[in-house]
Amino acid sequence: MSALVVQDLGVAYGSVQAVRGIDISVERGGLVALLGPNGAGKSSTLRALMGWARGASGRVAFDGEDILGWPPERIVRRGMTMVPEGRRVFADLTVDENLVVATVGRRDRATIAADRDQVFALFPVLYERRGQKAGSLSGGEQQQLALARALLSAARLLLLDEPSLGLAPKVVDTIFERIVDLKRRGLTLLLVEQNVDRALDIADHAYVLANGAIVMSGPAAELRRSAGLAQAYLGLERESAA
Amino acid sequence: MTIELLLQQVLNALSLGGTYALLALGLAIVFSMMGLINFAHGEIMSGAGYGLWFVILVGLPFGLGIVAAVVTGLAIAVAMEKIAFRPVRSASPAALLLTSFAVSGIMQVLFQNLISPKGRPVAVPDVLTGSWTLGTLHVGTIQALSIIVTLALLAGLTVFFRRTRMGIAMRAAASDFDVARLMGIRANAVIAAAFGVSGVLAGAAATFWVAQRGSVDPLMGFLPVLKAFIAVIVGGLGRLEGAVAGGFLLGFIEIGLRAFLPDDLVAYREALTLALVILILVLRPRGLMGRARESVR
Amino acid sequence: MAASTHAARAARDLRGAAFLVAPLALVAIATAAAGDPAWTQTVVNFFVALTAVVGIGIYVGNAGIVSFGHTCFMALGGYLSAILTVAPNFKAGNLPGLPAFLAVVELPLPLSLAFVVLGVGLVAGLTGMVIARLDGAAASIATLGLLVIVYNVLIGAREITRGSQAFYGIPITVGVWTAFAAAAVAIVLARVFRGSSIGLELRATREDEPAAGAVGVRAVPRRWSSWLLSAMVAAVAGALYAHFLGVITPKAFYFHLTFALLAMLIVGGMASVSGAVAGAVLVTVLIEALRRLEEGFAIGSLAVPPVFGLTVVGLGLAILLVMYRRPQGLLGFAEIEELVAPAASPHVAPGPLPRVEAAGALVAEGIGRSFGGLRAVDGVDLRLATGEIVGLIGPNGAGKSTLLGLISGVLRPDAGRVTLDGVDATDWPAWRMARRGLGRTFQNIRLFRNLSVHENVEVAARRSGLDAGPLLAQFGLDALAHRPAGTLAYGPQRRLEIARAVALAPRFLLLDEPAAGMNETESDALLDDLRRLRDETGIGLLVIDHDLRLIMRLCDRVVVLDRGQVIAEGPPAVVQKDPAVIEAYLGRAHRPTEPNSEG
Repeated sequence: MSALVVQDLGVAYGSVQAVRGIDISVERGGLVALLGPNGAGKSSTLRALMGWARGASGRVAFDGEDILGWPPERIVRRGMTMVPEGRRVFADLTVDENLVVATVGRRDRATIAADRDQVFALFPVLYERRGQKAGSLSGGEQQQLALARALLSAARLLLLDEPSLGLAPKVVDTIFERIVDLKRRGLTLLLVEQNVDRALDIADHAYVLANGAIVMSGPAAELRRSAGLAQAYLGLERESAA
Repeated sequence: MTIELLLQQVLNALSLGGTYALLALGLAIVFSMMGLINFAHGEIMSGAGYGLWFVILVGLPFGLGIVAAVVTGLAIAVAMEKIAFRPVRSASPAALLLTSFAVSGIMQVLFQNLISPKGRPVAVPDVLTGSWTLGTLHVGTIQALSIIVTLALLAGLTVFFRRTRMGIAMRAAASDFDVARLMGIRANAVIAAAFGVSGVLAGAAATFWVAQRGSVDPLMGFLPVLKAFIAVIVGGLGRLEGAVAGGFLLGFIEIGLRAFLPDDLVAYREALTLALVILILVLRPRGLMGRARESVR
Repeated sequence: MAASTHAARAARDLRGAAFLVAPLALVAIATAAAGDPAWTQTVVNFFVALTAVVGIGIYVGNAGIVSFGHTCFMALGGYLSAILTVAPNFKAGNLPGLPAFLAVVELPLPLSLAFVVLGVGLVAGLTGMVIARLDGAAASIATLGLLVIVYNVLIGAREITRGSQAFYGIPITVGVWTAFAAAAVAIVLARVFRGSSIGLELRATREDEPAAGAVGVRAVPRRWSSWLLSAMVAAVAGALYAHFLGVITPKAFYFHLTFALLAMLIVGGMASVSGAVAGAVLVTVLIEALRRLEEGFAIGSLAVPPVFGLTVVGLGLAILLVMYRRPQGLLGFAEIEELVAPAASPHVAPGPLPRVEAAGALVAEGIGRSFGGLRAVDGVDLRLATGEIVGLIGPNGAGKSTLLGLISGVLRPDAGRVTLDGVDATDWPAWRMARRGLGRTFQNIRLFRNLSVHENVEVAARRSGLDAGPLLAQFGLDALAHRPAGTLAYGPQRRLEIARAVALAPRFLLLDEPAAGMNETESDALLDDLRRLRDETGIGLLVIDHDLRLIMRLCDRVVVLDRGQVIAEGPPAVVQKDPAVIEAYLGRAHRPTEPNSEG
């Protein structure tokens, strides 16, 4: 069954139509990648799903409930959250405090401590740095903290916006390993990523956006072999549909 | 000048600066969440003063009056957010400022009509009006209490902001409101809490103010809150530590001028205090602890 | 050409002022003819308040900063004029601290007003040196501080001002005609200032300070001059109050007056002179009505008791209503004649674009910049010659925007240097880069949204001496010339931003994602426009965009940035096939099955 079903989603900023009626569905426990050149509308899509974008239209069903137009905190409390682009950890707060913030919306206080231990097991570097200001962490550590934060908010579905942005290749390896761990633990993931190969390595299914519309979609393995992808990215003249 | 006199002035400065710091901190907490400089903060303070006055009037003990002041401050602040500021929450800073300006004017008239345009005396118990003598140092009981309570409040708030879930959530919301909501923090709740805290602080400040002056009037909050505004700006808009530092700085400047200004200039004390503090902005337009505006994006 | 446009502009502003002054003149004539004392009182009061509001609006409206402090200039004006005009024997008895030369003078009102303008102007010039450096809430609070400072000084200087006691015996020399004349002069001054280059540039900073910097505008000196002029007008209004009432106190120029004047400005709309006038009318009517209520009255046999402070509540509610429903005030940003008789957008023949005469280059050598621990730009060399189109691409987060900021003077590099036509420009701020020939656009369009399309271009064109009209026509925007820029559709907004940059007559133009959000057809049109722009002007273009289809077809040369460093550079066809570039964009091992470059 689908955890997330997006139908005819449009996003407009004033007179700019950033997303023009797209359909996406994410199976429960699946990892779906949303690819496309910069400016294609990937981030706008995630923002709209999360209640961050004003001019969104269409239908977004999360576990069967239409959540479009809900304030973000309500969506989060229902079990879906986003790791925003650029990580956006609370720089003046310590690692520990960042993690505490993530649990504010939770009702099941009793299980928080256990969850926190699990998160530290998954991200040992955060345990080492738990008393440090988040702003003093390296980019990779901040990204791990952002993932850990989302995890601790007890989300079942995570939207990841460009988790590899600005990170060294080695660090990206670590982050992607963690993302695979999350999937293994049963989380459903929708990943926006500019690093196409890496994304396709771990995704089950992918959509390619260009100019606010979906130009390609299919199982990740198939897209990996497609030449059309390079065209969508590198601005080569488009062939008659791939 | 003797050491005693100097110590005496330091105590005075701590007492006065502490009151400014409480007011400035309340303003800064609200500002950091929603970009509002609350012009009507002074009316929260006056309202809290009237809470104290009323409890004394009906013959209840002063201790209860303090509770009443704090509760009234909290109630007015939370109600003000809900009624006046929620409809304009996402408006420009200028629109927010003008809204609070109007609220301030309306509330002053309400106090004038519902209570009295004139000052109302508040009987302060003898225990509080006395003073202790330590060697050659005279310490007013209220003054001592105000220093102790202010420091206790600041310490308590530090614990609240560092140790409690709500406190940490508020710091998170102050640093990145949108992402805080991604953590499940309710926008309405956290802003109401910010106003609540600012109201409690204004209530405490009102208690000290009234206890030292023995009366409460509709315009009581205006001047101290004006100075708190300036403390907030000088400390660096949106920086909580900056606001507290700015408040104490203002207290020291004001007491310093009061103590050392030649007699023929004493009349200009308020003016000189404000001018000196505003001049700090020439050197640091973003305030003492303000961050530069430059950023990556 | 310059002289004739100056004249045309002045004529336009005077015509606008006439729209406002004419009805006021009728009121003045009717009042003088009727001669009813109570009515005269109200009308003179209105004219004086109007003068003050229009004066305050010169700063508040153009700079977009709320001032609580202008009432202090009214106070200073009132007291100064009172001291200059009362009889020496009064001064001897009541103002013992007055310096000798002031104690003996007894000036007529016009001469006294001249001194008021000079004296208060001096105070405003000095205070402005602090306040003009601040913006937003900090500036507003500083003005509030200033009000309290002056209030306390007036009370403290008892020997000169009688302190908090009433200063009475001021010659009552202001009637309907003087008050009307002052209001008319204030309106004309405000209109001329608003339309002047300084006023226009200041309004541009109000809308968007970084964008204003990108067309060479420095905000601080502009704010200072408006502060000075508005203080002078407010001071005259204060003096007129004194000579109308005959008695003043510091308190008369404190919070109540500030509240009423700001209400006038806000209700009508603080961004235009017409708004100030409309607000003054409405609020005066409101105050008069409420004042009657405040005094208590009877409806039939039912006596309504007096309510203290009703005017303040009424004004407060009026402000709240405006803030909730129409935060820009009743008139918004438009002047009255623009609403009543909107100017047609005349069809202008497209004029020639400015031509770059001498060849030159914008060069960055080894520049770098860190943020926290991140080396956002690291030792980048970049050269842009006049007449060439260079593309700058790279994955998200590669440092492109930071690099642009470094070159354009918005950010300061911490390594390397920037030269503009051989001159070291490393430390130049953005406005100086703009004045020396660097134009730019922004990633998320930054227009002066509440200025008209024409004014947007005019801000830059007045600096370069170009004519805005033909330039707009050249960009196909002439039919939209009088629309507020913020109301344009997306495509025209992008075009306008480029037109504004071109109006600077730059030698180099940096375009940050000009094709963002455009579909294929639109981006094809943009391609043609940019190519034509280069061919006709010889401007050197640096284009950042994610639309690689556009970049590859448009540019002579492409520079690829990744993790803050240049990883490839060369003609598009070469860069496109560079493995390092493919890897940066697609990931480590992606080897596309040789794509056909022909479709």
